[in-house]
Amino acid sequence: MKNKVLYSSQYIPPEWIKIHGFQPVNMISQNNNAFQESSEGVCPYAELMFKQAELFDGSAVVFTTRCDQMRRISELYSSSGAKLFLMNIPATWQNQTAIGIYKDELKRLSSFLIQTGGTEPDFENLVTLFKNKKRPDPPKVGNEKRIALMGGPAIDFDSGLINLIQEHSAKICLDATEIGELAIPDVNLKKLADDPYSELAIAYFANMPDIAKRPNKQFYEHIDEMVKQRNIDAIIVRTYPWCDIWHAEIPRIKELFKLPLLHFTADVCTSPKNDSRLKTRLKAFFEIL
Amino acid sequence: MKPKKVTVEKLDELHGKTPGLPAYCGKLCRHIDDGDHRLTKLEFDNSAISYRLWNFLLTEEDRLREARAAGKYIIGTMKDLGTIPVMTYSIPNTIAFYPDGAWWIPCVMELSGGLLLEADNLGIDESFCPVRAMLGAFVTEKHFPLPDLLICSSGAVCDDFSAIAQRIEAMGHPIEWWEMPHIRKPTPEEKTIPLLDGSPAPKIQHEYLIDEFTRLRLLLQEKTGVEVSDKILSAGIKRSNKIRQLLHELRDTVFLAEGIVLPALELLIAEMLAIHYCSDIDETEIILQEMVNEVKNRVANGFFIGNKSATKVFWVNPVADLRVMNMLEEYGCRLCGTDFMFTHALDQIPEDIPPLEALALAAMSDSMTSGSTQRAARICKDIKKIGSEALIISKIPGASHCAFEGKIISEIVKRECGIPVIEIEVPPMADVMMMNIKTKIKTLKEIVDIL
Repeated sequence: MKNKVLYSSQYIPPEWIKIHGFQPVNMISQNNNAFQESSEGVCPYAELMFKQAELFDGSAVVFTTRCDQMRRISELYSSSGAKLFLMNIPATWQNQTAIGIYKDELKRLSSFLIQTGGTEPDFENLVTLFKNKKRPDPPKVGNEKRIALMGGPAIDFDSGLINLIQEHSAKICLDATEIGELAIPDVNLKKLADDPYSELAIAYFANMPDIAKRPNKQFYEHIDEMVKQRNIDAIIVRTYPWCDIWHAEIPRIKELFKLPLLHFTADVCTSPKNDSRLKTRLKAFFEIL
Repeated sequence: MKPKKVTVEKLDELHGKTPGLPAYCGKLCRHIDDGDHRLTKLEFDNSAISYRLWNFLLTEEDRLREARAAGKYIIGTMKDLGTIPVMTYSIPNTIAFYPDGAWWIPCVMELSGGLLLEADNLGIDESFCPVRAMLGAFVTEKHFPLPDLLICSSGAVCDDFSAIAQRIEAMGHPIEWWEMPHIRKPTPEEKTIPLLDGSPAPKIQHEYLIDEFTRLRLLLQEKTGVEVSDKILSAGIKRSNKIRQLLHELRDTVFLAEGIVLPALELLIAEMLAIHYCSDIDETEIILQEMVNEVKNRVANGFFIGNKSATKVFWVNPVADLRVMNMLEEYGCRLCGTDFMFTHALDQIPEDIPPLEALALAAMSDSMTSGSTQRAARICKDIKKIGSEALIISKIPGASHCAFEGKIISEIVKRECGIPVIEIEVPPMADVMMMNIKTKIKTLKEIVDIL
């Protein structure tokens, strides 16, 4: 396990970790049983990431400053033997300072990984890793209702949610959650070969639509286009308790897309399939649709 | 006059008895008629300068409207708590104000202003910090004139504020966002720069901020038509430092006195002036100078409010309900040390380096942009200097930082200073929680008395 690096955000290129000789492990993919109960006022998703970091038996853990809760929870992290790196992700994105910060953070992450026992970055391998990486085609849909899913990052419990949606003859045709389709970078391989720092900063930061960016118009522009292209029928927004960033945008999402919208707050301790309240709400929502 | 705490009606008896007061001064009770009902529940310092301070605070809206009518350029400086206002006040005919300050309106108006209801209607409910009242104020346009320009820091800021500011922009109020990086500890191989408290920070982060402030300087030039030169910025910094020096004197005199020479409530209001000068920097300076004179006179004459045995309490975070500041003294405590989330706005800004570099250092010294550990370090340093006997961490309902910082600060302060710590939560109208708050404060005092 010692050659593994756990990371927590769509802004951290796993390829970057890999070319330093480590195996990147996405916190999302970890066992959610680490989570027993949530603390007052704390985003349970952030707390889940924290618990998983504490249980991690690898070389290092990488958190980001994408939101205040994730930024601050990393400060509590100390009990694991793994080293911690907190990557500063700017909220602004339309100015050179922000892009410069991201590039510098990639360099700092590189130094950190080398000091943690990694190798010098293998840039040739970086290009190879991206060769097969592209955004997936939209799912093929028959007569099902076409759903756009938005909100905080999906964890493995969400397979239950997908099943529930499918039970109602509907299909998620647009995954606009934080780690969904929008988080898959569009990398120019030639530019990546010429200047990996700049290209990663463009692909993984500047061009990545995110509701947390300021301003967040990039997110809405992308989603608007995809909602129209895919003839989306309805939107489901799943947020975590105390996530101000998503919570504040619900009325705006309703207003801009003018589609039927179901918003629910996720409980990371309970799988959607065991959440009778959610099941009833979904049933009612699809009946109305 | 011997100091004591009095009702608003009693304080109003000073009306007409103090010569030379500015035109904005009048009976404070007129604000009650306008809806500021909380004034009837508060107790005030009985000095003439207290009367002027409260008049100054409660007339900000009127003064802003007068400034607008006089053709002044009004800038809403959001979130940074004390850096961009220094820049904007350097520019002639320009006024900065702090829309975030609307968070006290629900308290002062005892919810009668409907601002939280407006925020509720826009989906910004009680899971957000009371600063959501600012959103309501932008909707109703009743509490301040809409600014000519909005500038807001983002990045290492609380999620509540950032999310609400984004909604304000989406409502059609364009915002110029600037990046405030999370200030971290430098790595061993990095070049460093000392912050205002002397602790090292990465030099590269200082450079980011200089770039951001250079961008804002150009924007301000374009919007105001005034060349924002180093010379006028340096003059602005000098002026701000005068205010900060006065606050430093005021705080030191109050905290180190043998007894209470200024109630906690008035000290809180005085500290708030450091952020944006309540829309009038000249008047801020006069008021703070007179407050310093008043407390020094009280110390010299041994004039104290209550007895000298009050427990010395260090207070962390501002309270959404001002009444809670009064309660501290009611239960045998006194304010001895504060961190109202903007201690960086109390520090002197360097005058011997180029102004944008100096302002960048000031911004980096904001402990809310680094970790709670760094914030706790400053709190411990102040506690040791002042001799505070207990710490109260006042949680702001819904605020993203409050879920974490209490535990970290509490553990560090207990370990480093060996004093008891309690956390209380203060909503904009804390009446229903007063018994809980009272019990906690009284218990804290009992523990200190035993120790």
